Order: sequence, then structure tokens, then C-alpha cells
Amino acid sequence: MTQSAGLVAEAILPTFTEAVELHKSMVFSIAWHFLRDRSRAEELSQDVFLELHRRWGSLRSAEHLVFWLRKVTGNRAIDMIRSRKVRPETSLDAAAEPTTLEQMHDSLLASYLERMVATLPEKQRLAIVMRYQEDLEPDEIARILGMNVSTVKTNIARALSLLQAKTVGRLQPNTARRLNEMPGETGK
Amino acid sequence: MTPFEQELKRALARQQPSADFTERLFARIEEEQAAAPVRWWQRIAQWPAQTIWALAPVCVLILLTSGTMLYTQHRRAVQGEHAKQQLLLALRITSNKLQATQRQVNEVESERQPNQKDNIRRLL
Repeated sequence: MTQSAGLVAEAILPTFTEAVELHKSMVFSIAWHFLRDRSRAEELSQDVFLELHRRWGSLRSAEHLVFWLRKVTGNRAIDMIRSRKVRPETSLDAAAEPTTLEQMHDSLLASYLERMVATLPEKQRLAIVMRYQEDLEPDEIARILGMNVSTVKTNIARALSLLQAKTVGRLQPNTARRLNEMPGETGK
Repeated sequence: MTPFEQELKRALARQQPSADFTERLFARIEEEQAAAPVRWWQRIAQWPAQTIWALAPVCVLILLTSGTMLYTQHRRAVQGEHAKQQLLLALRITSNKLQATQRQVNEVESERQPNQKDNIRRLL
């Protein structure tokens, strides 16, 4: 069910209950990776599905449904950050350099990367989440975020180089070498 | 995709919300529906798109029919007004003609009356 959005594309519109079951993990994960706050991510996801319920009649297809959910979740996440002054716990520059990172295990690396993504600027963060969580191409991300494709590509490239620079410097040489293979490629 | 991007993809894997997420959502929906009675236009907005598209030709037909009726009514009103104006003009012209004729008759009458007096005086 992790990539259900792709599977239901161009299919007939499911019922509202099915839509919630199919897409709740997508909506929640976008909110969670953006906000890094479980309760706020759940609150935002609930609001998105409530709004979906109100507008259910205007949706045309399963593809339109997924597009709508991604767009509204992204916009609401940005709104929440701006209105409530939610700020990530750490920033990329101010992030501590924990010694445990020297022996970073894969799961810790994933957790570290997840936290670092949450410190990116809003648009870069959303582009990274759409690109690597939702596996979307830059042109699809551009449609969802209402940006130019080139802006999306630039945002992804900048975010990647920022994350890579911060992460690779703190790894064991072997892990760093592994991650540094073929650096700088941002698109498929 | 580079190894770093693969790590990032793994880090950003989808996660499930809490187990009671759906239950809480439907409770909120019920709460909302109970709080605000659904208005007729909201009911229409909730209709499936197919129903709305099916009803669209009927709405267009109703609009066209009522538009045609209103236009016909308007045209009749304009024609009636035009006819009224023409009738008033005709009456005005007739009235002017009658007045002119009356004036001429009066003039002839006034010319004839002194002649008649002279004739009577001559006879006497």
C-alpha cells in the first residue's frame, strides 16, 4: 500500500472510505516529513481528509484525487509552518555534530537524514519529500507545487548538495565513500 | 539514482498514522455534519460529476426556453409601443387636417355673408 497512489492512477474514483484507507499513509507521511511533529502531522492529515469530504463531489478520477491530496497537504503544511511559527528543532547549520554519528548505523543514518530534511527551507523540503517519498518526477512536482520545472530541479539539487555535505562529513570513511559514489546526480 | 539518494528515499519511506486515525476522522465528519445542516446547494455540490454532466443539457434547455420566451415578450412590447406611436401620429395629422378645413370653411362663410347683405339691400 506504500505506493498506492501510482497503482490507482487513471482508475475510477474509489469511495470516500476507500480513499481514506488508500491514501492516509501518503498524506500523513508528507505532513510528518515536513513538520517532524506527529500530533501536528495527524491534525493536518485529518483536516485534509475533512476538506476532501466536503469537496468529494468535485473530484473526477483517482488520479485527480491523488493530485488534490498531495497539493492540499503540501500547501497546508506550509501554511501551518508559517501561521504557527513551527520551526524545526535543529537547523542544518546549527545541527550538533554527534560523536555517535561516527559509528552511524544504517537506521540511524535514515533517522538523521529524516531530521535533516525537516531543517531545509520550505520549498526545498516539500520538493525533496515529493521527489523521494512519493517518487515523483520534477515535472509532476512542479504541477503540484505550482512552480517551474527548472525551479523544482534547482530546489532539489540545492537541497541534495546541502544534505550531502552535512551528512557525508560526519560518516565513517567507508560509509562516506559509499554515499559519495556518483555525486551530484539529482534527477532520474 | 545515487547511493545518497537511495538512502534519502529509504529515510523518507511512508509511515502509517495512528491506528485510530480513520475512526477519529469519521467521528469528526459526523460531528461536522450534525453541527451544520446540509443546504440544498451543498447537496448539489456533493453530487457525482456524472450526474451534474447529465443534468447540464436539461439546464441549458431550460435557460434557452426561458430566454426565448422573455425575448418574444420583449419584442411584442416593443411592437405594441411602436403601433401606439403610429396611431397617435395618425390622429394628430387627422386633427390638423380637420382644423385646416374648418378654418377654410369659416373663411368662405365670412366672405359670403357681406355679399348676401348687399343683395338683400338691393332687392329692398
